[in-house]
Amino acid sequence: MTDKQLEVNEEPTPPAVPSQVSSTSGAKPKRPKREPLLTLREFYGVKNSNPARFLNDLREGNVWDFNREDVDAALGLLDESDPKFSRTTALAVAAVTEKDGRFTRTTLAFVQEAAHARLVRNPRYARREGESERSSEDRFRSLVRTQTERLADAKKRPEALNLLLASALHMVYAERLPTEVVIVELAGALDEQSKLTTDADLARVAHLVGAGKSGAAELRRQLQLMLPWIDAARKARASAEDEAARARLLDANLDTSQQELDVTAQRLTDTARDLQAAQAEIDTLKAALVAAQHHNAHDLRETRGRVAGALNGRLVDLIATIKDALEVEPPRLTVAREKVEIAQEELERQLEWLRSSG
Amino acid sequence: MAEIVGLDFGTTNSLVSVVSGGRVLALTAEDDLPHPSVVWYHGTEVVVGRQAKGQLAEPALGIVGDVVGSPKRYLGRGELLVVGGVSRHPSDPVAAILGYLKGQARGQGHDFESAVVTIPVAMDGRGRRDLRDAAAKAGIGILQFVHEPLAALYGYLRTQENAELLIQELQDQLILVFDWGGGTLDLTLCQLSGRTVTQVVNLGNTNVGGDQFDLRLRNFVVQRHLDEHGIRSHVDVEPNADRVLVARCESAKIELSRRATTTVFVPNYLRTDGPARTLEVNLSREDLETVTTDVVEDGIRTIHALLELVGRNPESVGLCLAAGGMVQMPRIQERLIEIFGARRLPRIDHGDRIISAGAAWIAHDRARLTLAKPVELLNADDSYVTIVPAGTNLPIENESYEQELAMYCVDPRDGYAKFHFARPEWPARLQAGDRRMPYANLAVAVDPGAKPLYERLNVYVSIDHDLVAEVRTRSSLFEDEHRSEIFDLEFGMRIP
Repeated sequence: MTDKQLEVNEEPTPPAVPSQVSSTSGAKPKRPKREPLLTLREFYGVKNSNPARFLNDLREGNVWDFNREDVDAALGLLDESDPKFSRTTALAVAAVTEKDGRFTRTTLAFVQEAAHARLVRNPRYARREGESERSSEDRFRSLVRTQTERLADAKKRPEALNLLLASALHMVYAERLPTEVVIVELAGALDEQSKLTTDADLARVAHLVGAGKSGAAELRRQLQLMLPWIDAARKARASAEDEAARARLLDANLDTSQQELDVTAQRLTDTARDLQAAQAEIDTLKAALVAAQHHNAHDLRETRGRVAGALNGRLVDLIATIKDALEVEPPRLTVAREKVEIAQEELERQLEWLRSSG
Repeated sequence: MAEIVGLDFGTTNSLVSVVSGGRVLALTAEDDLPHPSVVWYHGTEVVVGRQAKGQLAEPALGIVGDVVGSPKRYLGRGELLVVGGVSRHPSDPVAAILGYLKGQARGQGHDFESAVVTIPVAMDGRGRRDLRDAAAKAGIGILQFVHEPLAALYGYLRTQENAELLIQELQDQLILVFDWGGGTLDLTLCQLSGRTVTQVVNLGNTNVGGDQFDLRLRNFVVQRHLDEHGIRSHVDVEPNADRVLVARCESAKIELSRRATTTVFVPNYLRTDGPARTLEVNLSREDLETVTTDVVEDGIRTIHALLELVGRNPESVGLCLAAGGMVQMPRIQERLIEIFGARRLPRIDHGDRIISAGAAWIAHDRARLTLAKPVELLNADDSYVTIVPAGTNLPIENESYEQELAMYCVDPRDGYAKFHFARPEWPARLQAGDRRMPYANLAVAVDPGAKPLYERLNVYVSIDHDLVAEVRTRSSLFEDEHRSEIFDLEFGMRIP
């Protein structure tokens, strides 16, 4: 398949290819002589203008190019005169199927500008602006994706398909975009909309590849050859999606595991803190035990000391005084009695202290 | 592990205390009493404590033969002591006592190398330096000195069960603390602001210590014995009889704190025949009070004098904390109750240990002394400039505080620049019109021909770890320099 085989399709209007339906009625009425169309403005200004004839008028009128003013005027008429972009797409097909290709570059440049002006209204398309650094294949795939929603909408679908076809023609001609990429991507996009199985769709794509009605069988054959690849690609994509899903699942699992890890780490921290607190408590208790041992030893020493102090100090002194008082001549019984009383009081005081401190 | 202890090196008794497990443990002697501050140089042996005290034949504290009673009183005098015919530095017997205390503590499981040591309010810089040297000889570093009554107050507030309530009640009130011990009566008047105790004024009296009571009682007993036997001439005393009499007079003093009368009995006292040989003297509490009344009243006058120093009377005192062994004497207790009333005079169970306990708490809390009042210098316009602000953290062991100030001589015509160093009478009253208490006056020679405000005068202030401030002044042209030592700084301390 070459880019010369590409042809336009219009839907729901009949395709802009020469009709092969002949009239069965009588003699044809004579048509008035048609004025030649020499500018794009005129092409879009006349209802039902034929792209092939327009190009022929240009050739005969020795017109080689469209000036800027004409292009701008035509772009201004496009929304009204070609709301579904079918005429522009037909113009592109006519330009690429022309014998000498004289108007191919000029026409496709206009078509590309017109398509861009239409496509850029789509936010999804607008977002992919600036992707020129990518390959033509990638950019076309990306372009197809921008039209996925419009293709699913029966009302918007003709315009979307024509825009894709017009863009495809420009990219095949100007950027050497492989035609199989065009077929696969368009077939895939249409299949996703469950439309490819219908003959009407096949017919439209057949027109696109320039095979006319008879090309539908060839397209079907080519698609049958390509569909396994498409299928493989879809499976690969599905597999990739599965992988992505698995990855997401793994991510989720990882998140869960991370959370569990965090919980465990927190638990570990809490446990370590509890352990530290328990250790501190043990240390405190040990210190308290040591202190209690010290206190007990000290208290015992104090008690012994106090008793010893009372016995060794006060009582020994009192008894020595009593002994002295009894040993002198005459014995001092009054002194001895007094010191015995004091000793008794001292003993009672010490006993009282022992009782109260026990 | 080495601990930091509280050490009360007292005139008559000394005690180490340590805080362990939230309790103060007093590391007393075997008889559960503080260790007597007595050293006996017995040949090559140095005996300390109770055994050394037993050798004292005189109640008066001092050197008797080869026994040194209360070596604390010799610190800072700059004189060598002659003990048993041997010249010794005053720090030697002190080091012997401190070393003994350290050994006793180690024997009770408390090894220490550093201590918070209490000192009388009147101990000057030389005394503190001698004490630090003595401690170093004994292997003890003095972390911080603290006035004895301030330590007593800290220990009291630190150990009260209702401490918080008490602190609230005493806010901005005056607290009188005194330590009436064997050698001195030390007083401090404090204010409690927030949780900080601040000394307002300190005063000491070395003439009313417990040793004076013992001496007077001993002399009274001897005189009464001589009178009863009509002896007018000198009679020798039997060997060792004086030692026995000293011990029995001390017992009689204790007995008279619990009963109205007692008898001092010493057989074979006088070297004579007949009944006078045996000393038997009946003593009443009135006798004791009579012979000691002037000492008691001297002490009471000291309390009034302290209050008068800052224009206050006893009614303005919110709490009177009486520490020291002498406050157990009934006559002193009666007099204090008369002055302050029983409500403001709490009973302290261990009055002889509270100073050591307070020092132990200070050591335990690592509480630091701060300067209670700013050190100020009088300006030519009669205003005071602060050189060292109140609240300054005072140096602990091996630290010092330094401050320098540059001024200019306003009127050099008489050839002298005069410096008056002072502090406010009350800690928080710093206005120019508030009363000041002087620290020191210095004068340096200046060039009388110089223009006013031409000759620079440098003022240097330093405070060392003995809590002694030195003020030094120097004139820049005449290069004349003078200095003075200030040891009577007032301190503050925060209760945790």
